[in-house]
Amino acid sequence: MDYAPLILSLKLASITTVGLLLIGAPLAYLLVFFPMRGKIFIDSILGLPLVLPPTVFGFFLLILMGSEGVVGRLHEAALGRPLIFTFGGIVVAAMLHGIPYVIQPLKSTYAKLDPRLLESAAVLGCSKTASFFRVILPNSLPGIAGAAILTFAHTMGEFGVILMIGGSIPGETKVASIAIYEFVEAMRYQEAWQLSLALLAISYLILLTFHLLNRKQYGR
Amino acid sequence: MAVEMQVSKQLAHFKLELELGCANGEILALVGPSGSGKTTVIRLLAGLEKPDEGFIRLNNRLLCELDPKSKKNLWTPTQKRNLGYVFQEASLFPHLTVRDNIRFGCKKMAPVNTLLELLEIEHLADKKPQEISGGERQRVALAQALATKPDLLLLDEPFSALDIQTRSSLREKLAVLKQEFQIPIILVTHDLEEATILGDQIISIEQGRTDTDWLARLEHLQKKTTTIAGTA
Repeated sequence: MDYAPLILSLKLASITTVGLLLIGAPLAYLLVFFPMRGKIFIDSILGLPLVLPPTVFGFFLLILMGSEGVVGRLHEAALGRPLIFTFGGIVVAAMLHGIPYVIQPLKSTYAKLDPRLLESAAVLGCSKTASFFRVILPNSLPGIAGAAILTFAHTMGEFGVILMIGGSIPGETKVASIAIYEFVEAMRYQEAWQLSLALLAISYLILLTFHLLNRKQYGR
Repeated sequence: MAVEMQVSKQLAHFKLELELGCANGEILALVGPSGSGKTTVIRLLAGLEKPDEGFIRLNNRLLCELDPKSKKNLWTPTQKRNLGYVFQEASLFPHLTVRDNIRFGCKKMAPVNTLLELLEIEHLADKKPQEISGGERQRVALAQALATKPDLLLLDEPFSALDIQTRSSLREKLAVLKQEFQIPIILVTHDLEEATILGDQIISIEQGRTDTDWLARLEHLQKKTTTIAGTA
C-alpha cells in the first residue's frame, strides 16, 4: 500500500497545528484581554470557516491565492512560483480553515483564568507581554493541548478546501482524504479500506488523547 | 506623608470621594461595611482602576493626576508603581512553587530566603500553593508582595477568610513587618477590632466617603457591651 498520502496528511496536520498555535495563542490573548472596538466583527470573521461549506471557503481562497488574486500575485512576485497546487498552498489554506478550531478553545481557556493572577503579575511589575508568557501560557496548557488536538484532527480530515487549492498532486497535495476519494472512484476498495482504517485509528487515538487530557484536567 | 491620595470616582450606586495620607512605618486601616468602596480605594492606589479626578502621590512621585477641566492626564500603569498587594484570598501562581512565587516579581528583589525565614514558611518553599493551607498562602502572598521591595503595601482584607488563631498570628506578623520594612501599609478591613489593633490611623468609609461619626458609634457600642456584661 502507498502510505505517501497518509504521511503527507500527518505532515500537513503537524505544520498547520504548530503554525496555528503560534498565531492563535497571542491572537486569542488579544481578543480576550484587550478592549478593542469591532471585536465582535473580528470574532465573526474568524468563525466563518465553521459555518461556510469547505468548497465555498476553498473557492474564495482559490480566487485570493490564484495567479490573479492579491495573495497569489504577491507570492509569485516574491518567490517566482505559484502558491496554489503546492504543499505551501495547502498549508496556508488548512491554516486559514483551521483558525476557529484553535481560537475558540484558547479563548475559552483564557477567559476562565482567575483575573487576579494577571492583576497580581501587574502589581509585581510584569508587562502584559511578560504576563502572557509567564502566567497565561503556563496556566493554559490543558487548553492549548486541547486546541492542538482539535486542529490536528480537523486538518487530518480536511478535504474540500485542500481539493480546491491543491488538487491531487501525488507527494505534493494528495493527502489521505483525497486519496481515499480517488480509490473509491476507481473502485479500488482494498486500498480505500486500508487508508480509511489507518485514518480511523489515528483519529481515534487523537480523540482518546483529548478525552484523557480532559479527564486529567477536570478529574472525571 | 509617604503616600497621599485625593480622588473621586463615580461607582454604580454612589460617588467615591476620599482623601487620605499615610507615613512610612504606619498602618492606615480603612474600615467600612461591604460595598462601601474600601477595595476600590486600594485598587485606585494600585492603578488597577482609574479615578475620574484627583491625584495619587507616592514618595513625592505623582502616580496619577487627572483633572478633566484642566486636561491633566498623568497616569502611571500598575507595573511601574512599585507596590505590594495582598488580595483577600491569596492569588498565588498555581504553576509555581512557593519559592518561585515569591521571586516572581520582575523588579529588584529582596533575598527570598530572608523572607521565607521572616514569615516562617521555609518548610513550604518547594510546595505548590494548592498544597498549603489558607493561612500559609496568605503568608506566602505577604512574602511575595514584599519581595519586590515595594514603596507601599496594600492589603485587601487579607485575614478575613482565616480562623481566629491564624488571623491573630498573622496580625502579630504584620506588626513585625511594619517595623522591619518601614513603608506605608494600607489595610482594608471590615473588622473594627482588627482596625483598632493594627491601625496607627483609622479611616471609616461609608458610601464612598469618610464617615467621621464611626468612633462615636464604636464608643457607644463598647459602652453598651460593657453595660450588658456588667448586668449579666
